[in-house]
Amino acid sequence: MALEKELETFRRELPGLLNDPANRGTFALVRGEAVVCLYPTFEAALAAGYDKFGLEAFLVKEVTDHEEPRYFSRNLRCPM
Amino acid sequence: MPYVTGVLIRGWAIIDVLVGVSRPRHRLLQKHHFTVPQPVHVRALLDTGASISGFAPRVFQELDLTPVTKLGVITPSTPAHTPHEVDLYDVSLALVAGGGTHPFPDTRVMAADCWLPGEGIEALIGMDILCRGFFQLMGPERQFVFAF
Repeated sequence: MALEKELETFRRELPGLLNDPANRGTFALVRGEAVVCLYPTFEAALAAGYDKFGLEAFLVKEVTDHEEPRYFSRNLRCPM
Repeated sequence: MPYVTGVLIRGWAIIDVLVGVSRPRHRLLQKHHFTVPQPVHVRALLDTGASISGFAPRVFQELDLTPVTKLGVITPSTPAHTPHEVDLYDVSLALVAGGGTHPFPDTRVMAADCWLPGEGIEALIGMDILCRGFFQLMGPERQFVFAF
């Protein structure tokens, strides 16, 4: 599945990132096994991802210990 | 202010949407001399019960996109403590109205496989998009307006 490695990297690094209060609420740009950098907004991290990695896959995730879920009004057939 | 208006179909407010690659990806594809995929046409239900918009997976496949993030999503059958993890894609949307198209560039929407054969829709436009405009439902007249 797409971004599985990046998600694994993010989950591994998240506790360390959360140790610094300044990182909370920032957005991590993740590629492969590395958290490349942190950015103040999702849009800034996304723009940096395009600049650094072009058309290759990368992940943007918020540095938080409680990600607010979104709501979707239909049942999904399977995890995407 | 552009707007989309229509009659309710089976009680639904349905609009036509074109989904294309985001502007940064468009620039990258051109820079590398790749073909930019044509926008994909989708019929979408305006849904105030969804906090995020979702489109059929085939849309992202046709645009040759990979997701840019993953998010937890709660559905009617999802236990609140174990949300679905879904892929979000960076796209540009254009709403079809009045013989033209009206862009909502650089928007993140989720992939959702939940469409029934014959119902004629493959997307929900949720509050993430609706909150960018003015949505009015005129129940007795069976009409709706979405101005943006």
